[in-house]
Amino acid sequence: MDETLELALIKEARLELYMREYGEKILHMVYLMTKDRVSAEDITQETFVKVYRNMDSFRGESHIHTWIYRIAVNEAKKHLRKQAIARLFLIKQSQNMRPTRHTHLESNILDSLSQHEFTQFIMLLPNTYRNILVLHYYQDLSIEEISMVLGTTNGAVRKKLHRARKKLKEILKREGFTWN
Amino acid sequence: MELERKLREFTYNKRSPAIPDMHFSPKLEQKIWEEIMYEQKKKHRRLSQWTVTVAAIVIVLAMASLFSQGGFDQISTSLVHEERFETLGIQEEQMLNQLDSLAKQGFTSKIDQSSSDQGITIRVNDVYYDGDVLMYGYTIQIPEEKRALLLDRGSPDFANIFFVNGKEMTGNSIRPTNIKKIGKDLYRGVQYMFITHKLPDSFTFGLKASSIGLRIRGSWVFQFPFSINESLKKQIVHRQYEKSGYIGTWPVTIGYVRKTPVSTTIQLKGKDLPVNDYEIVGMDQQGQVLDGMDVLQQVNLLENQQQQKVFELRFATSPNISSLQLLPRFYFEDASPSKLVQIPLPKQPIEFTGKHGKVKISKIDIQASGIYVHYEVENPLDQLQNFIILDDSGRQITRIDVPVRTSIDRYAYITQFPNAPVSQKGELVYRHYPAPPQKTEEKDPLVIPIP
Repeated sequence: MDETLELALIKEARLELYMREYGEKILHMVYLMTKDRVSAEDITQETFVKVYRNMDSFRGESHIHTWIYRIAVNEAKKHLRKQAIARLFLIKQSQNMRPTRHTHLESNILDSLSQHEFTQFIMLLPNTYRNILVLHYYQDLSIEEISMVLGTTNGAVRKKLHRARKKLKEILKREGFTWN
Repeated sequence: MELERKLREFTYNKRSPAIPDMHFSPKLEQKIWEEIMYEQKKKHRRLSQWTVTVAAIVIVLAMASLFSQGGFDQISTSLVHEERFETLGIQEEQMLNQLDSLAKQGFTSKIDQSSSDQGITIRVNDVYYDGDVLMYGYTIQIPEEKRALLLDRGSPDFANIFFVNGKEMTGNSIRPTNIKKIGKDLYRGVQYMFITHKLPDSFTFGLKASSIGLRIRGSWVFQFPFSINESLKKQIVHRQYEKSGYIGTWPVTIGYVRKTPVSTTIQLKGKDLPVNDYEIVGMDQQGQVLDGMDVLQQVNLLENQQQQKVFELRFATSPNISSLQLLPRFYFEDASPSKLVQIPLPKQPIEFTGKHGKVKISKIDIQASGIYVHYEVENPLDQLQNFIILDDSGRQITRIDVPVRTSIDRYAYITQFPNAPVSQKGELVYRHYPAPPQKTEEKDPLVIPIP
């Protein structure tokens, strides 16, 4: 029993560490993927419960954060698949979340966008492109790490990243933004 | 290039995050721990050889006190719902109350032994042991700086381990995860377990804890002489019966009935008896069915031989129970075809007469505080499931799961839908499972007398 307890306590300490290190990052990432705060909290919760549950089976073949991100991304995807009706609602909601256009002359310059405003434009991207940008830029994951998280090849990740940037550029152009 | 630069700025930064008002809060962290604890508890239960949640027995204890007070005609379903589900706080409160009551009656032994580590003191107060049930109460004094580590999951890991004359023993217990705050830095808890080994009347009792909750580690050790309380011994009744009969289609023999102030144990012997598919129904002196027994219970397989199995059934002692029967449990999956019933609101009353009696919605009260559905079930084996209120366009606006009445239950109920907005054209919908016909091959059930 002592051994089990010992193990449990080590797991406890590790989970605490992971939550401190990755809790908010995961929460933000899931929110950017699902666009729904309540779901983001639920998915983050489920992610860490799964991390705790499966900690013993983590063999250290990848870095712990890619493993945790992989769980979170899979949970988020599962949620989005299950919530077909909710997804329709979210699309509606995302339309409501469309960033307000600036009225000042200089505001149409991309550089003038705050990070929060820029995030709102990223939120307009389709899921696949948004997810890849979130993982690469917001979470600062390398191409290799993203391919591990998403279970795909490096080439596929590069291709998606390229398309995601292109798509974002189109959206910004459509909104009248110019580049310096 | 400028877009790439902008994207590079789109990086998580704790100081100025892109989503500024969204944080991994302590509340969220607590929810995660609670979920983990819940899972561990479930796992612990699965591992247990005892088949039915011991926690339920505590609910029976509460019900037992209701027996003595009478008044079962009507009670809010929401209350029943609360009691039937494992609301841990309620269980622990009931355990503590029971221990206090036993102490008042002079059935416990006062111990008052404490053990300290890292400034945290655990004190074992009252111990109750009647040969079947072991219960002990304790307090934890914890300094302020360590209190945050409890996170409401602060019970010591005594679990079901204890020591008798230095020998490790295992009981069958629930492991409460909550302790009750009774002072600024003082918490109170109780451990409750069923003992299947025969223990001597006097022995050296030992307890060890190596953690409190999930995060506090340390060592708290107790050792004290213990003897079964003499006043308690006088209260214990043991009757040998060797009476035979049938449960369903299975022949059985009652071995003994042992009754203590806390639990009543029945020994049953039989071949291939699926005890877990049955539940104990209590009856009073007049043979009237007493409600509440469905929330029992414990089944313990003592012997499992080809010729014969020996079981112990255990439930909370109640002064009103004169005899028992075992009746088949109800499972929705095995139920006869159900019927979806839709009643326009607020029309009332409505009554359905079927083969096995009546189900009657006697009143639907639409008030500012919510909708109150009064209903009556004539045959207790009739089941209702899921009251749903629909609005005038057929959308579900609220739903209450009606507790499964496993065999015998109350006759009349009120279910409340708090703050349910309803238009005058809404509907109440529920599913009705008619009582199954009695199987012709089933014999008259064995009646077990309780001393």
